[in-house]
Amino acid sequence: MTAISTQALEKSYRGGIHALRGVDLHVERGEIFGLIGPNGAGKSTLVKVLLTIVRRTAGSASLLGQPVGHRPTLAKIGFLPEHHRMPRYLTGRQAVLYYARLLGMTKRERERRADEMIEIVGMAQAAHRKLGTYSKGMQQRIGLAQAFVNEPELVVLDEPTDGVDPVGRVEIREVLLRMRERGTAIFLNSHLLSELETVCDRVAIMLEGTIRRQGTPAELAGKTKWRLTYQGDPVGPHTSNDLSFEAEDEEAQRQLDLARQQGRVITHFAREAVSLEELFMAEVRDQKGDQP
Amino acid sequence: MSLLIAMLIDTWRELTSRFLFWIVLAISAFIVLLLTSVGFDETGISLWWGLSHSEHDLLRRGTRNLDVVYRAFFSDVLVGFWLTYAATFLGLISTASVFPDFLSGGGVDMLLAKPRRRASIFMAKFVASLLFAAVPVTLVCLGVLLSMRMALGVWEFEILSALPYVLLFYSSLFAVCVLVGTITRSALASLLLTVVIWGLFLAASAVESTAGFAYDQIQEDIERVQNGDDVPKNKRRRRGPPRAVQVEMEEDDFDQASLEESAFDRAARLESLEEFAANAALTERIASAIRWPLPKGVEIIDLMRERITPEDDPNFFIAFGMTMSGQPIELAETVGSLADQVTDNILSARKVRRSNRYVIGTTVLFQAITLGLAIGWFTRRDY
Ligand SMILES: Nc1ncnc2c1ncn2[C@@H]1O[C@H](COP(=O)(O)OP(=O)(O)O)[C@@H](O)[C@H]1O
Ligand SMILES: [Mg+2]
Repeated sequence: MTAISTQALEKSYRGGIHALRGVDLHVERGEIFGLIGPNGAGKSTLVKVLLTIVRRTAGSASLLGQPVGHRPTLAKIGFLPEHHRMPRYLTGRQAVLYYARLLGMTKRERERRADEMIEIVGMAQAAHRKLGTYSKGMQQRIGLAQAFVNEPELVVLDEPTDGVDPVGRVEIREVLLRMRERGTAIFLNSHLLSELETVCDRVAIMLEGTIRRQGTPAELAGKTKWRLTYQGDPVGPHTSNDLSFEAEDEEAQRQLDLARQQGRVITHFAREAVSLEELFMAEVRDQKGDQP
Repeated sequence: MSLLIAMLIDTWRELTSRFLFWIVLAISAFIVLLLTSVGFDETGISLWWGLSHSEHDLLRRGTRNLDVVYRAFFSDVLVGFWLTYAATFLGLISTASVFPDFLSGGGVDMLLAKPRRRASIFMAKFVASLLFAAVPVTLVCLGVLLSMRMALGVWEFEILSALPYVLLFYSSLFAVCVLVGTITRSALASLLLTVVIWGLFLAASAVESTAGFAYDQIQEDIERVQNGDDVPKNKRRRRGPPRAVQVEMEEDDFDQASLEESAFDRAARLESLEEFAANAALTERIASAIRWPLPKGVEIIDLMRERITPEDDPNFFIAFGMTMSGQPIELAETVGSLADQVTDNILSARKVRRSNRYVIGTTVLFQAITLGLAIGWFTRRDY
């Protein structure tokens, strides 16, 4: 079952900015999907098109199997925009209840879910204070609480950790993992690679309005990264007895054999995840190479 | 419905979190307090809820003077000034920022992503802000009702029928404010432009009634010239210094020759008067045409005032002044109607013959179109 699917999606803003230039994307239900890209890549535009905040220029897109703009589907989606500004005169709890009401939830459901989510994001203590008195991190938590208040099948978060301190980031990540356990699909945007790496099942790299790569971090890597450590002096072409290298499976085995043939004691041999940062930087470098 | 309720609650919280809203409310409450502090009994006036009392022959319970003065006060001061200008302006000030704030980036995103039609979201917000802008005005109307009961001993429930008119008048301006606010997303721009546009509405209506008034006067003059009444047998001419000079000149050489000459003069004057009349009529017609699609503020206010005072009642200041100097109200009425002809007339007393249905209908239409434009803009643009 697909949570988000887009085909050749395009968006030109008035004034001629071509923000999306044919985006093809697939997000499955129940997974955490991360979209990375530098500022201005079009990540927020993509999210806005999906949530009817901005109109697409061409192409098609669907959410939970329904075309974008299908109103009943929007009731099953949670959303936290980038740079959101919830009314400052509301308390944290009032804000969550306000958005829940707009989603058409019944009073009993609203109150039960609001309190539950406020508890989960750790805002129970401050829930009766006005948003105007909150720190950025606290506002972000209330933002998350409202995004999950309707037990959504899909949640879209635009830069959820923007402006949040490291402790807060870890906590937000924990909330996301907890929500995924309940079967919620989560789509998040970030320009901070380290954010996505640790939580995402799959990622896509977006540059200048197109998706450059899409898949699990391992799939994206193509070549796997290996680490080989042994006792004694480096053998043959090795520069050290603690090696870290990218290679196909057979090639890695050959390196291992080389060390064993020389009688070295292998202390460590394992596949390592390729960091998104490296992938991403490689893409950006390619991009720059494309247009000198 | 849940959308409207959500917007009502939210707008109420928004307004009550603002200092300005409370100031407007406090001013309105203060006015009500002042109104109810004045009372009348069989012997005279009591001020400050009876703390001080002064006897008065004419301003006491049961006199016609009191009735006329009191009603004139509400009609001229409270409706004619407070509800028409001050309360409307204060209402605009306290709600001008509602829409720009509502549409600010990061705030509106969260609403648009909800399973609601954009047009419904917009209308719910509009209705909610309108209702709360009506709170201070309602307070004043209720205060008037109460103080009339206290002063005159009658419940004038007709006063409450002013409320829909006040709301209609206010909402047509608020619609302009919302349209500008939706396009510019700036509270200051929308407030300033609304006030300017309001001024233009008033100017158009002043031009229309002045031209109409001038036309009527010229017609009278033409009649007089045609009947030969303009030959100065007496001094009842009271208009315009140039005419007076001319009159005296003619009086000086009043003989057979000048009579001949005056026949020639008369034809020339008639011609120039008719040309003047044609210009006035054209101006009035153009102003009317321009005003056709605009809100009929002046007429709506008149509709309200008619419910409080009979049309030929004297102006408050005349009625009050004459009463205080001990004159019976009948004199004030005579003086008042004379004075009306001179002053009031110029701005509004020349009632353009328009039905209530026309006044209300075109105003509602204006509002519908303005809101339609705002909604069209809101639903089409990207956020
Ligand atoms: N409302 C808008 N009107 C015009 N251009 C916009 C608007 N929103 C974004 N853009 C432009 O579209 C491009 C993509 O922006 P955005 O989607 O916000 O990127 P990201 O979220 O990846 O940083 C940028 O060049 C930006 O300036
Ligand atoms: Mg962005």
